[in-house]
Amino acid sequence: MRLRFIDARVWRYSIAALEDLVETGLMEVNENGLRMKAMDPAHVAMIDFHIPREGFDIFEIEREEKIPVSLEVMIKILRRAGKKDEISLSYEPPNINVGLISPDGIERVFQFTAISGAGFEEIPELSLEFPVEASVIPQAFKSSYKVLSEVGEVIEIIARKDKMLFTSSSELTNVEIELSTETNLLTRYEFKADNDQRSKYTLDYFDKMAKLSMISESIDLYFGEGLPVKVVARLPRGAWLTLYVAPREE
Amino acid sequence: MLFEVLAETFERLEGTSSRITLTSILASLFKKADPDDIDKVIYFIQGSLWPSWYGEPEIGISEKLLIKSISLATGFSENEVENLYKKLGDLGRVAENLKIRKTQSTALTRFISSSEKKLTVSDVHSTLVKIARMTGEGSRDLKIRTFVGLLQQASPKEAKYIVRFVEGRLRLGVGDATIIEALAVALGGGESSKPVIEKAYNIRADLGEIGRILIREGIEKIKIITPSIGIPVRPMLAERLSDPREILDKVGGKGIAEFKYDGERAQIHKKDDNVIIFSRRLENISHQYPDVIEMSRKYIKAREAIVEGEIVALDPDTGEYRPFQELMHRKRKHDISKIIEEYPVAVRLFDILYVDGVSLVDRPLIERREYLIKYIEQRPEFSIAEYKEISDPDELEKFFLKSLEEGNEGLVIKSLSGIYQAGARGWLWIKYKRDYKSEMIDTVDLVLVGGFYGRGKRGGKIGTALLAAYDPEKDVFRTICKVGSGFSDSDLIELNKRIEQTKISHRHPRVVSEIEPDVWTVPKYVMEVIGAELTLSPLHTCCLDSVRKGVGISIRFPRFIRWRDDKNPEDATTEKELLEMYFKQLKKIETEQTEKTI
Repeated sequence: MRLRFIDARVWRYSIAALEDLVETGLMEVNENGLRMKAMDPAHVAMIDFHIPREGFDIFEIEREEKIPVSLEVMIKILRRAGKKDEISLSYEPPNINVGLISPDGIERVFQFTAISGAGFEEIPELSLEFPVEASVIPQAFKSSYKVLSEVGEVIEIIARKDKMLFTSSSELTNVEIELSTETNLLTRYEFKADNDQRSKYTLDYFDKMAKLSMISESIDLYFGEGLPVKVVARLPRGAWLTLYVAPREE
Repeated sequence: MLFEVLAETFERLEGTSSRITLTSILASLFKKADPDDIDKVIYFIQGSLWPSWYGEPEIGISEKLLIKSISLATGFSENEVENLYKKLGDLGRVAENLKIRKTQSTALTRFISSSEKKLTVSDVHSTLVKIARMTGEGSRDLKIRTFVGLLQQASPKEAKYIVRFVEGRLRLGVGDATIIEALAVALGGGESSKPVIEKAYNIRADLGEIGRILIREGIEKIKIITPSIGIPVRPMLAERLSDPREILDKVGGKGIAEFKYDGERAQIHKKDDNVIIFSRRLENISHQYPDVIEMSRKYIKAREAIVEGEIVALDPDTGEYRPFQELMHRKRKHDISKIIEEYPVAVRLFDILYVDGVSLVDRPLIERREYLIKYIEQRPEFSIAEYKEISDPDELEKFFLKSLEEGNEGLVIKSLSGIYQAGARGWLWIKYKRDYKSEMIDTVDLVLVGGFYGRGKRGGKIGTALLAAYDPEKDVFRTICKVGSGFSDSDLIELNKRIEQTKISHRHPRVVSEIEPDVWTVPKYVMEVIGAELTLSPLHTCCLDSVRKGVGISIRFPRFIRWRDDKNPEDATTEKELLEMYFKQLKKIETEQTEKTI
C-alpha cells in the first residue's frame, strides 16, 4: 500500500483529535479511501475521519487494509510536519512508513510497527435527524471556543429561529456569543423545529476541533435538544472529520 | 459469567456473618462459574485483580478521581457526589444511588438502536487490568475515561461493587480459608477435599489458578499438584524454643542445625536463564538483586529449580555479614548497579523444593539436603548455609554461640525426616534465637592487640583490628571483638602504620586470647568503638565465665569511631564496666521483624 497526500497538517490535526480520545486506532484503507474512527472509553465523544480516494495524489492499494496503529507514536511523528509538507504513507506488514516531504523535495521517513494483537471496539454508525443545521466560519468557531473555555467547562447551545447562541458560565462570569447569517459568522442556517432548542455539552471535547478549524474550509454544526452535537470540519481535498459529543443531562 | 451474578453474590455475602452461610453462598457461585473466568471470580472475591506476587501495578484511581468518575458517569456535579459521600460514607453506595437517580445514560451509545450488552466478569476484569497498566503522560485522563465508560455500562448494583473494589473496600468478610472450603464443596466433591486444596494452594500460591485446575481437571489433578516455576510456594515456618535439650527432643533427638542469618528470606525460581526471586511475603523482589539472579544462573546446576535461602548483606571490605537493615538500600529503583557494589550480598541456601520436573516437598529434609548439595556449585557468595548434624545439647549451644559470634541471629534446627510443609508453622523446624539482648547505647574504648589482612581493595593490608578490654585485677587485656567497619581510607592507612610500629611475632604476654590474628601487636593504642549490642561469645575472652560458663562477651557489628591517643591502654574500658553495661541494657526480645521471620 502506498499513499501520498498534499497537506500533512490535515493529518497532524486530525490524528491529534483522535489521539485525544484513544491511544490506538484502526486505519481502514479500501477503494473508497482512508477512514479512522474512535470513540472515547466513556462513550461521550466519537470521531470519524475520512479522506476520499480522489483526495490523494497517490493511492495504490492491492487489497483492503485494516492497520492497527499507536496514535501516540503517530502523533509524535506528525508534530514534525511543517506548514507546506506533504505526507506519504506505506504499509508492508508489520511496518508502517510515514514520510514528511518538504517543499524542496526532501523526504524524512519514519518507520514504526503496527500494533499486534490489539482488539478494537466496534464503533457504531450514528444515524440521527437534527432539527438545526448551521455552517460556521472556522475562525468564528475557534475564537468562540477560546472565549467559552476561558469562562466555564460546559457549553450550552441555544438555537432560535434566526440565530444560535453559545453560552458558558462560571460562579463569577457569564459569556454569550451570538451567531447568525446577519452577523456573517454563519454562512448557512436551517431551523426546522417548532420551539427553541437547547442542550449542554462538556467543552473539553471541542478542544482539538477548535485547533482543526485553522485548516478547515468550513465547520458544519448539527444540533437538537437532547441530542448529541455533530460537528463536521470540511478539510482540503474533500477530507472531513466529524465529531459527535453526547449531551450532558443536568 | 455475568458480572451481575457476582454483584448479587457480593450483596448476599455482605449481609451474612455465619461462616457456614458464607461458604454455601460462595459454593453456589463457584458451581455457576465458567472454566474461563473462575480465576477472575476468585481474584475479585480476594479483592484484587491478581495475586500480589505478579508485581503488577495497582489500579491507581484515587478517591478524588473516583469522585470525578462518578460525576462524569452519572451527570451529577462533583460537589453533589462529595456531599452524598459525606452523608453515606461509602463511594460504592454513592455510585449506586446516583446511578438509580440518573437512569438515563449520557453516552452516545444511547443514540444507537442496538441494545446495550451486559457486563461480564471478564469485561470488568479486563477493563480494570487495562486501567492498571496505563502509565505515563496523559494516563490519568485515560484512566478516568475508561473507568467512566465501565461505570456507564454498569447497573447501579454493579457500579457499587466496582467502585468499592477499586477503592479496596469490598468488605466481604471472606478469607482464603472460606474460598478454599467453598471450592471443596462446589468442585472438589465435598468438604473432605479441603486439606487437599489447601495443600495445593500452599504449593502454588495462586488461588485463581487452583480454581481453574479444579474446574478443568478435577480434584485428582489437585492431589498431585507440584510446585510450578514462577508461582511462589508459601514458605514453611518455624516454631520457637529456647532450651537446646527441648529443641533436640522435639526434632527426634537429632537434627540439622543451621545458622539463622540476619538477612532477607528468598525463594529463587530458575528456568533456563530466567530467574525470579520471591520474598517471604511472596513479593517479586528480583529487581533488587540482579547479582543474585546472575549467581543463580551460574551456580544452580539444573535447568529448572526452586531453592530457598537467605540473602545477607556483606561488608564489601571485610566480607563480614552486615545487619539486615543494610539490605534496605537494595529497595532503590535507580542506580542499582552502583548499589550492588556498595552493598554486596551473599546467598546462603537452606532448601530445595523442586528440580527438573521432580517435586521435593514431600521428601525428607535429609534427602532434600542431598539434592541441594548436588545441584549447587558452592562459591563464597553463593553457598549452602553453615550447618551441622547435632544430637548433643551442649554442642548445639556452642554452635548457637558461634552463629551469634558471626553476627547471625541464632540457629534453626530441623528434623532430619521432616517434609517441606509449605505455608505451615510446625515443630519440624525450630528457631533458636536469643531471648534477651543488650543494646549498646554508648561507645567503649578498646585496645588494639592484633590485626587481620583484608580482602578486595584492602588486600595485602590489615583491614580488621583485634581489640581487647582491660582487666585491672590481673593487669591483662582480654579480646572482645574484631572491627573492620567504620574506617575511612586514611583511617586504614593510620591503622596499618600503627600495627607496623607495634608488630610482634607472638602474642603479647599481657594479652589473653583464644583467637589467632594474622599479626600480633603490643597493647599500646586505644580506639573508640560503638556496636549494635553486647552479645555472648564462645570465642572472646572478655568476661569469660561471668555470664555463663565457657562463654565471654563480644560486640555485635562494631564500628571504628576514632583513635583515643589521649588514653593509655590501662585507661581503656574495663572488663568489669563491660559486664555492667551488658546487664544494665539486657532486655527481653519481644517483637520480631515479621519480614525476616522464618
